[in-house]
Amino acid sequence: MSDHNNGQVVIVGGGIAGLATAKLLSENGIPFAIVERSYKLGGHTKDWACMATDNCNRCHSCAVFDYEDFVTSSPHGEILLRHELFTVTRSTSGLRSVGIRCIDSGAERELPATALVLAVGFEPFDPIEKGFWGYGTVEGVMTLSDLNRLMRLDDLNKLRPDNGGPLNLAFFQCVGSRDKTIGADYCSQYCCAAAIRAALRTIHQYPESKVAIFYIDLQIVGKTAQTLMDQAQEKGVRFLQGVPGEIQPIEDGGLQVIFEKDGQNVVERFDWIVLSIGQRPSSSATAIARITEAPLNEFGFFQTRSQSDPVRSPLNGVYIAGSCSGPANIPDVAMNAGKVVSAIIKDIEQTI
Amino acid sequence: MLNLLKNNSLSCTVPNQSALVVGNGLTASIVVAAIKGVGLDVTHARFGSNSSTLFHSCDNESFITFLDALNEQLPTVEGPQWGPTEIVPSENGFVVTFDSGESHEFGSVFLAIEGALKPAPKDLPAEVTTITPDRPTASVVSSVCFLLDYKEITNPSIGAHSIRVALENQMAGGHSFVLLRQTPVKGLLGETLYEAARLAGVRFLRYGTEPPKIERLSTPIESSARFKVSVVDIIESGEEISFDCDCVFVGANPIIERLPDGFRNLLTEETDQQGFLIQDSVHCLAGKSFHRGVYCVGPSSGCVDLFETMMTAASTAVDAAAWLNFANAPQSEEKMSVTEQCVRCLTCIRLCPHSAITLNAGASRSNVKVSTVRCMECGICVAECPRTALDLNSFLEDGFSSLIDRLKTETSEDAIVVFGCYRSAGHAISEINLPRNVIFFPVSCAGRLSESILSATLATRVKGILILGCHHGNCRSNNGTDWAGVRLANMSKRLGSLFGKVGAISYKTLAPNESARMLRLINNFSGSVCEISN
Ligand SMILES: Cc1cc2nc3c(=O)[nH]c(=O)nc-3n(C[C@H](O)[C@H](O)[C@H](O)COP(=O)(O)OP(=O)(O)OC[C@H]3O[C@@H](n4cnc5c(N)ncnc54)[C@H](O)[C@@H]3O)c2cc1C
Ligand code: SF4
Ligand code: SF4
Ligand code: SF4
Ligand code: SF4
Repeated sequence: MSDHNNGQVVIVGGGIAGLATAKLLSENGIPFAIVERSYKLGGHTKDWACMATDNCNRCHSCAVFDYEDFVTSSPHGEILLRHELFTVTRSTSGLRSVGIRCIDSGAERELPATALVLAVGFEPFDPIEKGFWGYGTVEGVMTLSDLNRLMRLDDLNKLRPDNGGPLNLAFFQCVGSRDKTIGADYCSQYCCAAAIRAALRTIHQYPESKVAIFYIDLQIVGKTAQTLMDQAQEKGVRFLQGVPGEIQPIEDGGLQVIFEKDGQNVVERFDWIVLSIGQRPSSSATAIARITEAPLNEFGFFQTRSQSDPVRSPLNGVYIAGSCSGPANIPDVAMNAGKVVSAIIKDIEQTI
Repeated sequence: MLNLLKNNSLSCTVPNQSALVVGNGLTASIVVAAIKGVGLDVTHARFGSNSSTLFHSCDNESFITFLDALNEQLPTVEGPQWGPTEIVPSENGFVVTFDSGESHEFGSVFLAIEGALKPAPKDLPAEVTTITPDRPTASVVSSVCFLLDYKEITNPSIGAHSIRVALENQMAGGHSFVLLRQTPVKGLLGETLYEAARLAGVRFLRYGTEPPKIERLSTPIESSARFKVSVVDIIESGEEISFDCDCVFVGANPIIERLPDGFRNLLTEETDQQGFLIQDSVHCLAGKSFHRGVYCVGPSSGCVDLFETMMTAASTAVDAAAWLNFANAPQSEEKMSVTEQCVRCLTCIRLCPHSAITLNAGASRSNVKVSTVRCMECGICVAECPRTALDLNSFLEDGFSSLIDRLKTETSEDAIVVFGCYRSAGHAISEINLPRNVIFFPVSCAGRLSESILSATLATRVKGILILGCHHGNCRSNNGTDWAGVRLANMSKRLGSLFGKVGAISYKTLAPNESARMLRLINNFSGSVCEISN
């Protein structure tokens, strides 16, 4: 196919969604510019740890490196770190350009844009928001994000008891997801599989570990789901239906939870409790929506046209990529980026 | 057959600019439309069933309008029937040889067959039918029971569809029951749908390890219940609940009945319980297979969701366009050199994970030809060629030789060499400070490290060698990382007597985001090697 030299596509957000979109644009000869507000590319995925045991468990976090390598060496693109969007100029038929600003120097620039891709991602739910399970106050309660950080720093040993006994932890699923009271009555899609992977990874490093997963419904979707589940059962991960409502710190420094099992109340003690936090709309979604006039949906994610057209904003010339249109895991994001680029190619071809 | 192809206006004059779609039904049409959408030429070869197993969880009316709109877009394509056929990767495409013996070259191939659903489990009464994408007409107000997660977890698209139909039936005045172990709340609106169904009065009953019992009532009288269902609800009461209903549907997962001929060497046929093709690599993402230019969309990959299939189709189409761009661009440099030492033993052809090597027909000098677009420069072939006839131009054998020369003379007492794949260790190293005694040498793939390189390195004054490959399943060249393990096992059998450095060589796997662990592995190795030698 010939090159589309009709001006560049501006991508706001250089997380895995922005990078995957940029890669496919570049591979199809379409120039792009990535406007990223932080100092680095990669977004949240750069914070997650590898979940491999004897083999890769397909958390896909490290895919970001392949994308980044490709995009940063592409001759078709420009990468603007520490920049943000502040205006959008439209023409009668669609977009003309966008105005961007350097966050540090305040210097402004005009970028020509045939299309604008919003890929501003998500925000991990902060359990402090609702004082959930004493996060932030009760020692031993952490988030999946905290656990990822520990694993990344190779500090999992810090979770072992001082006497060297087995590591004893429980995951609480759906924290900040599937919860109407906080406007998040949706499933965050990634966390069931991510918790199972983290459980497997923990047991792999410390085979004596005792791991329980408290869940509402397990959403283990897709190719690797069943294998993960089978592995977890084989390794003795306990799956317990129903997330306990309360965590009580007890004298020995442990955490006590009460849950129901076979109609009986069971009291159990854990050393650590990991809250599997959900995906919330990006903190900059409202600001970007104001600047671009791209509408948000009832949950605060960017609205798309329909289930069958899940990447075009109702606003012409604007496309929504990755988790800023709704919670997603990395394979979803990669697939979604393909759909974005296919929509852009189609729309460009129609206008010429 | 080929005449059909030739007369087909869709097939293209430049063969490598075209895509071949093998399949039938809605899936194939969606894929064909997606490929045309990105401006590629398509040939559609018909294979398999025409009836679709794509589920959708949107309401009936909007779905019908949607289907009408889709039908307008979907191209009607006349294509050949797929017979016993062979697909062989060529230098920058695929040569497809039809059963007539004639061949045609395509740039990429798409597997877009409709799947089938497994039959209802045998221990259920024969009248229990599997849940299909079409909706039971709600003209007769009836009580309907959906049985999900029976024997294995139901594919979530089928689950979501069931909830939708249960809701519709309830709204029409019927009674709906959904028996499940895990509520499928797929997508942004899954929870909303579940909530709506619950509010409308659909009864969700959750069972545990004890499966529900479904009995056929023995004397069905007209208009009376036909099944008796008993289930222990583990959430609400823990007691057994029984009810009668008119029909029972069971969620059965998709299966691939048969891969079309020619695909077996390109894809694995193994599937998991939900019907997904298992490809043992993290790189098989968004409809891509391990082979560049080969794609797998829709039910054939276990995905029976209409919208997801459309998404995958679009995504693979764009990737195919990118691949064709790349494969047809003039390649400036050869990636490999082949010398006259080659004796056509075929080892490299057999081992190349990317099907990049072919025999150079009639050649007198270099006997094999390496496709510049297919070769991923892993160097597995270089390491395994018995004649050392091959070399990678960007990671020359000379690089190893000079390293080894250097190690012979100028190493400190406790030096160790870390060979790391540039994809993983090469990244991870940027965040750590290496201990003074460690020499890091990035390699194209752990599979590049031949036994001769390893022995020669070990024969220098270094204390040990640590090989860091990518985790199994994340190797860009499939089994490159495993090669390191295999060679090491071979060598360590001989090592003790040869060098007196038992345990002085070790192989570990790593991801690019494991800087901290990489440092620990290096320190541990360094420590253990120095301990042995002291
Ligand atoms: C604890 C946790 C663990 C997870 N583990 C996994 C896992 O194992 N596997 C998996 O598949 N998924 C996992 N996920 C989900 C995964 O992180 C997301 O799917 C993925 O990060 C989404 O990518 P994105 O590019 O859409 O968003 P993000 O990663 O959020 O990237 C958005 C980017 O946009 C930038 N940005 C934001 N606002 C602006 C602005 N106004 N202007 C310019 N730039 C902006 C941000 O700086 C960032 O770089 C996990 C999520 C969590 C919370
Ligand atoms: S488990 Fe995740 S980070 Fe580790 S190798 Fe596999 S995809 Fe990469
Ligand atoms: S993926 Fe699992 S943990 Fe996450 S919100 Fe959905 S059901 Fe809850
Ligand atoms: S392995 Fe070496 S000798 Fe054998 S065919 Fe390949 S290049 Fe020739
Ligand atoms: S280097 Fe790897 S990809 Fe290239 S020809 Fe050799 S084995 Fe194949």
